[in-house]
Amino acid sequence: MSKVDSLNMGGEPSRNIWLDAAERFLGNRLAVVGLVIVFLFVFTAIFGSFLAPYDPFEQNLRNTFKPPNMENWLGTDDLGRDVLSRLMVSAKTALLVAFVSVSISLFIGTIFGLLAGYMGPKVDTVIMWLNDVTQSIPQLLLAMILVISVRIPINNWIDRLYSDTNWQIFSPTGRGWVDFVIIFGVLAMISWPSYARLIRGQVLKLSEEDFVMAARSVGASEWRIMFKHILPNAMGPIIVMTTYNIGTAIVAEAGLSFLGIGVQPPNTSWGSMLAQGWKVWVIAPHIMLAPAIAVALVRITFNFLGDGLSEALNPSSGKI
Amino acid sequence: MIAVIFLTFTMLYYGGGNPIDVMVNQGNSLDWPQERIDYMKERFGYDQPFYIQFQRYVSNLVQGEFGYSVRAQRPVGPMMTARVPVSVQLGLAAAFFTLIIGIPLGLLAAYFHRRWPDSLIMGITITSQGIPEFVLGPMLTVLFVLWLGILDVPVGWNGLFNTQLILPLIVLTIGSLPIIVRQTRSSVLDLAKSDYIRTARAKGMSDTNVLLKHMLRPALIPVTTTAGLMIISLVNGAIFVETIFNIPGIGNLSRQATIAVDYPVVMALVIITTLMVMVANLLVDLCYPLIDPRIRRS
Repeated sequence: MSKVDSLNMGGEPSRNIWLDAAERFLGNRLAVVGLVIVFLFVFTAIFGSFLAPYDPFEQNLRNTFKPPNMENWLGTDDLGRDVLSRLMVSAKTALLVAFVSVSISLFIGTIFGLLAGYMGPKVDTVIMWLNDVTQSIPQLLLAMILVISVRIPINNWIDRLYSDTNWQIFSPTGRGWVDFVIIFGVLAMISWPSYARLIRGQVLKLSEEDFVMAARSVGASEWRIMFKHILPNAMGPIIVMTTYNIGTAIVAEAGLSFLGIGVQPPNTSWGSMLAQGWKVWVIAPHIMLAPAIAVALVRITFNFLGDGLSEALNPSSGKI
Repeated sequence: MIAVIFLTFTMLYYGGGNPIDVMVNQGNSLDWPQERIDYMKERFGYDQPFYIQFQRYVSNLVQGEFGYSVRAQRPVGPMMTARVPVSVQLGLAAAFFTLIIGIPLGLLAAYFHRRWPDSLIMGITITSQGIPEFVLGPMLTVLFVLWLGILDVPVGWNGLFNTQLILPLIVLTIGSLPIIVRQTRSSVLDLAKSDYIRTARAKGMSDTNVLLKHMLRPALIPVTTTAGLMIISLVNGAIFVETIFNIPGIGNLSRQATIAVDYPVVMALVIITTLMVMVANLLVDLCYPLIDPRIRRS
């Protein structure tokens, strides 16, 4: 570092693209606010079950439909459960689903995108065809087909595992995690094409660049070019897209749960809370408004964060 | 299209097995004797191997038969014909409003580029893009019905021209508006750099005239391309909106069929929806020559 500094005669401190990007990012007020809210969200999601003022599953039928008050800050729902506590515990569902499903789809999409862009026209055609087919069905409908075609075989399979091993996590009551796994898979299946498309485009664009030809001319292997030269340079757009997609995944999970085909009780989700609240909106709109605002807030936050990152990581594009 | 049919059929065949088994395993009240199960399977052809079932399904489909829903105990075709018109009307109305509102908003934003109307429109657009339909619907209902008391409770379907549909249409329109506004704005801004616009300005043409006479048509070409995206977003939105406001369209049906694990209905819905999206895209393609004379000539 000091060597570089001493070489730098102009008096300007040495620059690093990530530091530059961080500086630009911090200059964007909306993005910083977004970052703070995201930190709050992640914090709540991780520690929500400790922070929650009440037990989110404890029912109290003498204390139902209470509007927000001093004891229950966001009121109570149709079974007398504390809405704030449920909201905080559900944040974990949202974060978990977003994080895992985005990671899976990022992984699949990166692999397929690299292959499509790099392995020649035949592989490209097959992958892009798969891509087109999955994108020609509206995503929500695709999710529905996936959910119903996967749920029964998986449950049958786990039934068999349970009778073989007798482990508690396979028992019908300890099986809440299966819903999560199904949702992870389904959301990943829906969103990988967008990554594959993006990365394929980046690969095709970057392969034309001089530095790739330079690497090739000094005899770098294809794998090395792919992972050491092309992927790092495609990182900016991938990070931006991932940020947007986390927001999208949270909304998608909430949407599926709202329709009743996502996370099932006793697991909680903002979507299923919203659906519950919608049944009683005339007498107690707060039950529905709390998760609604939470979903919208988190989604908008991730959008702003994505906008900020996109400007910070891609200064040449400037403002639209 | 055939790929979609094949993939869906394969997934449902290997994923769920046959509808009769699913029904017997799920419904606790059904304690059918084995003979009855076998009989039902035979009657609906579920005992046949995969390729025969698939062939039979496709040949029925070509004749306009969607099969029989064992769960709902009626043929799928009439269920569709009752519901498709509702959704199509709703979707067309929403598409109409999206274009009628979205294009002018995009033009306005571009016209006042980097001044407050632009920031206002884009701010609202970005924010509304973040609010999904199943959040917006309930929130607007509480606002308009419960707090302001302007509208009645919007539930059900009594034809297209009915105040019940105001809220569903608002929600659907807002859901797909951002795509159109953004695209209109950015295509106008792209055009603003081109030479012929500079020429028109240099001749002393007013900004409004340039915008409406020289830029509107070419700016709409990229917008028509995004119409496909708009259609997909309308279909997605319709599933939520029809569920929220209990409108008997195919969006609502697809949710019910998914929860009830009703394969023939889901299958038919996928086919019809994909077909509708394709037809809509075709119509959009046919609109190109109307907007772009270059295509007409070639």
